[in-house]
Amino acid sequence: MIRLVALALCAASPAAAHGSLPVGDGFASGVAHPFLAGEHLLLLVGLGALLGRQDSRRPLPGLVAGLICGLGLAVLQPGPMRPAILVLALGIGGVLAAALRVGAGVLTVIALAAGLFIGADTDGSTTIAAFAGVVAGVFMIVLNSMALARYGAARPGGVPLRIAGSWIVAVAILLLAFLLREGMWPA
Amino acid sequence: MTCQADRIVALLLVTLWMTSPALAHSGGLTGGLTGGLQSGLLHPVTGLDHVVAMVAVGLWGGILGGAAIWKLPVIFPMVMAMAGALGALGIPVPGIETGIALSGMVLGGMVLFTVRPPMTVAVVLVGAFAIFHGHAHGTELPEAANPIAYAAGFVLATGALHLAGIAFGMLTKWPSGMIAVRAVGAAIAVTGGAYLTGLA
Repeated sequence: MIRLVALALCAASPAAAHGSLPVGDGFASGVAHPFLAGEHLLLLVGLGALLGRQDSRRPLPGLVAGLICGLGLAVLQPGPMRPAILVLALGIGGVLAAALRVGAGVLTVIALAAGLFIGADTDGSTTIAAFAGVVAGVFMIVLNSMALARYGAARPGGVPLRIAGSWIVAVAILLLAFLLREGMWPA
Repeated sequence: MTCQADRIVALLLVTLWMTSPALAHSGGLTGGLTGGLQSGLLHPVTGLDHVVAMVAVGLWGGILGGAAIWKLPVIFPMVMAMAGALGALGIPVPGIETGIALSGMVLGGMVLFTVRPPMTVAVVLVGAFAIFHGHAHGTELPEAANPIAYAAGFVLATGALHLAGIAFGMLTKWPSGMIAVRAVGAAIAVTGGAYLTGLA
C-alpha cells in the first residue's frame, strides 16, 4: 500500500498541463467542491469505507493535516492531481474488494495522501472560508461513508464493501483511461 | 439473505429512479454530470445481449452460492473496466460481438443446467466474458460525456443488473423458484444464441 501511495505521488508530480479545480470564494461553494469533483468523491467514499470497515478514527487528523499541506502545495500550482487521486482510489478500492486488513500507520499515510491530493487540487487563490468549506465537505463524505461501511462490514464476509470496492476500482480504471485518451496523463 | 438482497436491489432501483427527474436539465456542470450519468446508466441496459449476460452472472452466482455470490460480481466490473480502458484507448480485441453473444448463451446454459464447476473455473469464465462486454462499452463511450458521471453510471447499472440476477437467483432455495431460475437461464441462452446466429 505504501508503494501505491508512492506511485500516486509520482503520478501527481509532473502533471502541469491543466489548471486545478476552482473552488469559489464562499464556505458553501467549498462544501460543494468535493461533492461536485467526481474524483474527490470517489476517493473520499473509498477512504471512508476503508476507515469504517476497520473502525479506525485515528487517521482522521492525518486527513486534516494532508488537506492543509495540500492547500499550501496548491499555492505553488503543482498542476492537476486527478491521476494521483484516481491511482489512490484504485488502490483503496482494491484493498476493499480483496478484504485486505491494513495497519493503522498505513491508514494514516493513506488519509494524509488523500488530503494532500485533494487539498492540492484546488486553485491557489482559495479563500480561508472556502477552504474551511472544503474540509467540511470532505468530512461529510468521509464520516457518512464510514458509518455506512460499518454497517456493510457487519454483513457476512463484508460482501457489500467488497462489491463497493470493485465498483471503485472499475470507475477509477475507466477514468484513468479517459485521462490517458485525453492526453491528460503526466508525461 | 434473500430479504437483504431484495432490499439492496430495491434501493438501487429507487436510486436509479430518483436520477431521472434531474436528467431534464442541460448545460453547465450539472447538465454535464447528469448527462454523463444518464449515458452511463443507460449504456449497459440498451443492448439486450449485454443485459441478459449481466443478469446471468448474478443468477449463476446465486446458483453456485457461497463465495460465488460476491466473487463473480466483484471480478466482473474490475475486468470489464480494464477491457473498457483498452476499448477507450482504441486497442483492438478480436471477436467482441461474438464473445458477447457467446457469453449470454454459455452463462444462460450454466444457469439452465445448474452447472457447478470449481470456483476458479467460474471466475475465469466470467472474467473472460467481462473482457468482451467491457471492451464494447469502452469503444462505444461518447466523447462528450462527463467521464466521472459516465463511468459511475456505467458501473452502477452493471452492478444493479448483477444484483438483480443474484436476488432472483436466491429463489433457487425453493423447488418452484429453481424452475423459474432455470427457465430464465434458458431464455438467456436462447437470446445469446439468437445474437450469435444473427437472428437478433
